[in-house]
Amino acid sequence: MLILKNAFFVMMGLFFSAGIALAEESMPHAEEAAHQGGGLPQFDPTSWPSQIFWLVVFFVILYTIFSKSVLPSIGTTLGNRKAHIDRHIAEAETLSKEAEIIDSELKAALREAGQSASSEIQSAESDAKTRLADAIAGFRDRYEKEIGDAENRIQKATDIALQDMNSLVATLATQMAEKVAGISADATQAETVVRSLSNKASKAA
Amino acid sequence: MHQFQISPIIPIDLGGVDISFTNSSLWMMIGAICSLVLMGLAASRKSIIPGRVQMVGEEIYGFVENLITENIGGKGKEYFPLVFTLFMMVIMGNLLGMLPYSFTYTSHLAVTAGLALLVFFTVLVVGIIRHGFHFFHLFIPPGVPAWLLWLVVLIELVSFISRPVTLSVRLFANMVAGHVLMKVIAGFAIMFASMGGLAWAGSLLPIAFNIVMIGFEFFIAFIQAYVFAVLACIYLKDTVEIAH
Repeated sequence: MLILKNAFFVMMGLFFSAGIALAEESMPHAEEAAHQGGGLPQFDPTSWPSQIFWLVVFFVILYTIFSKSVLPSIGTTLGNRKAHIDRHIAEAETLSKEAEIIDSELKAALREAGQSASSEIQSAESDAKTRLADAIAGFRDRYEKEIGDAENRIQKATDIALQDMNSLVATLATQMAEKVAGISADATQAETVVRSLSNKASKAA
Repeated sequence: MHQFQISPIIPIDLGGVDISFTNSSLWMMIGAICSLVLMGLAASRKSIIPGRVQMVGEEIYGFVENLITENIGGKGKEYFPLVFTLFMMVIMGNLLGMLPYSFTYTSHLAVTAGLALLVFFTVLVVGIIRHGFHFFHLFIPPGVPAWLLWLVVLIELVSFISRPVTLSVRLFANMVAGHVLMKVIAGFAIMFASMGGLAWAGSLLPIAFNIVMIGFEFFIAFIQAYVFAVLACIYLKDTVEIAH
């Protein structure tokens, strides 16, 4: 395995060097590069002053413009956006709080309305009940009175009828006693007897 | 390595020092113009609901701002323009380097070292101005036994001094390696294609691989700019607060 690995690396190395060599050869300026010593141009110090000079120039230009104009401007834009969003969020929060307050008020009003409605219903119901009870009581009083009147009238009629019956029975009895036994009985005495008898009968009944 | 060759376009000599406007400077200028146009357009829109360009600019702004708040903290705001400019310069150099026939100015050690030294000296100067002698407590971690202190201070000192080296070499080496690798693979394709006959079919594999590599290099271009900015933030943090 190790040998294979090493062989692989050697092969890769060969390929790379061949590639570099061919690439150098195929480039038109290869000779010029070789002329300069063959090493990387990065390590040729003759170009360093120019590179550093222009680096400083462009760095100073960029730094000045970025720090004086571009970055503060973008910063303000971002700050404005953040403030804008924050303001909207705060607004939305106050609005939602207001909505909550309105909602709770609405709920309270609804609850109150429900309570007053139920109390009103109850009072109306009890009112109706008392009125009904009154009406029923009045009706009962009236018809009881009428019944009592009617009963009294019946009683009176019965009494009158019974009185007539007693006197009738008494005369009948005196007449029967005259006719059957030839005894002339006193009518008033007979009536007293009949009355006591009928009284006894009614007591027994 | 022709693609890394610097050639002057406008030769300028300033008191014996060659500061010619070169192909590197040209692409640096293109990068600067591109970033200025992009960010300038994004900054000029100012609308509450951003359009495409404004969105891109604001995303970059937010990205760098996030880097700073995460790595330096709230006090890092003062370094925002610095880190932002560093990030824009590096990412523009890396991405413009992906254009054919362009020049990758971040593939030169002079440029990356210039940027890294800028960060290094910013940390050093601002740190000393702000914290005075206390700044050197950076090299003395707490809770180290006295007999080991000299070694720890030495290690801390070396790691502090090596910061600009690693920062610059990382970016430069990544850019060079990516471009060299793509060139090598393209060299294979040319080799097969120039063999004649049916050998051209052999160039299909390196071409396919190079297509993948180009995508990967775009990723590297972004990642290296990101890493550069993150490390700059971490180094700049020492000026804001000394951990011990």
